[in-house]
Amino acid sequence: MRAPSRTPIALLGWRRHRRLANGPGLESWALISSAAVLLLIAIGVIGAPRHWWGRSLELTLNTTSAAGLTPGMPVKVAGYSVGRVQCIQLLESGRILVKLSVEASRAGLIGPRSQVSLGQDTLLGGSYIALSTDPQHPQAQQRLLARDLNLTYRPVPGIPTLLNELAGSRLALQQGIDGATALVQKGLPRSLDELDRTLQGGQRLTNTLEQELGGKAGAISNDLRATSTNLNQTLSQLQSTLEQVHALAESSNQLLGNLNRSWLLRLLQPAADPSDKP
Amino acid sequence: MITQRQRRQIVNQVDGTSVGLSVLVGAAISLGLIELLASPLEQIASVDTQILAVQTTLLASPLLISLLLLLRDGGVLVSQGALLAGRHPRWLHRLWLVQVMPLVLASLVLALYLLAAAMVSATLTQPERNNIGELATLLGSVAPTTFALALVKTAIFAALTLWISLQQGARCQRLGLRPMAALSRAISLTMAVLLSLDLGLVLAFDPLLIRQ
Repeated sequence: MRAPSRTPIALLGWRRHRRLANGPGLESWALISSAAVLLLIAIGVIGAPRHWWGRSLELTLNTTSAAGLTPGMPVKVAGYSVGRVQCIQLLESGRILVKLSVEASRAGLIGPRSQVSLGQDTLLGGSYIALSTDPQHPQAQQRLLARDLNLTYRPVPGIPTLLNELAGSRLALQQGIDGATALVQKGLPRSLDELDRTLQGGQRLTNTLEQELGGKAGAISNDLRATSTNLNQTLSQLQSTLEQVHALAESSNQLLGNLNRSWLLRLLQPAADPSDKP
Repeated sequence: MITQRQRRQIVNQVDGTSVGLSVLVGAAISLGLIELLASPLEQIASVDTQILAVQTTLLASPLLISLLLLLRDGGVLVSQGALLAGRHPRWLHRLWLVQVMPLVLASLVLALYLLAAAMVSATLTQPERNNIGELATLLGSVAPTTFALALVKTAIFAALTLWISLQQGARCQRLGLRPMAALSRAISLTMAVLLSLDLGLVLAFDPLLIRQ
């Protein structure tokens, strides 16, 4: 090969050109192999969260607003990442079609009754799609994997909606406060007056009762004391009477025993039946 | 079909100096962007800052690799173009066809090293965290279409760099200018063409569509 010219740049180029004409170096092979490994790692890591290397469950959301939704956004169940938002399409009807890709191994947690909403990790954290669980049997899980699943998505209300709702709530709250103020201003003093009068009446009644009870208490006590004395005397008399009755019963018992042993009564008894003998 | 000569060229286009320079450029740009972005944000959203730095490096990598190739091989290419100045333009086209495959593959290898360096250096800005997991998060945040578009742009830009350098070498030789002038004009013209092309690509493709 002929050298191009003798200028410095041409000499530099010629030296490199001569090196290119030699056989491939080990260093170059090592660098190219490392680059190939880097490319494979990059493809593997980029594809892993997108489920390029395994089966996945595709969920479809049909909603009215795509506010806050972006492709690639994580999909989480109970805060655990299980998939990603594949794509967002604006349909001709004006509705939004969102396709989610969820790991096939998590398909058993998701069912037709799963609710979809927009979540956020922290105040400054990123947003994600939150899925509520609806556990499925293995057979139902296989059926879900065989076909796509349509879920309902509750869009996050926008700032104007929130402001309108807040204004409506504020009006209702204001009406309530006004009513309460009117009640306090008019009804409460009247009620307090009535309560005051009731308490005064109760106080008078209590005083009257105390006075009456104070006058009659001595008489009742004397009566009770006399009654108690009479009752004690009566009980003493009853006890002596019972002792006399007891003595009388003993003497009567003794008399009947004597009569039973007398010969006159044995004569009066009938003779015994001969058939009773053995 | 790649010939034996082309295979030798492909392999020898990648040397330690070029790879080292690519790694240095990737790390410097990524760390510089993170430093620039993190300071006003007071590191509140460090992961977002890292992702932004990596994506920016990904966007700028085709242009940077073309610049590296031009600085490394510009002299040789201009000289080769000057050699063919007196011949039919078909010879220049044939030389481009011979050189384009090795140069494109070398540019892709250098681009991979540059991106790897950018991601690793972005991860190392938060040493107390799980670096491997964070590296996977950073790489996973890159959209496949963005990654593929960066590599395709790198290949196209390398091919354009080669063609412009050869053309300018031949042109300067025909006009009787010095090779230094040819190299200077090749560098400025390549940068202008590539930046215009980059701007055109950004305007032509919807970034949101690319991300999907």
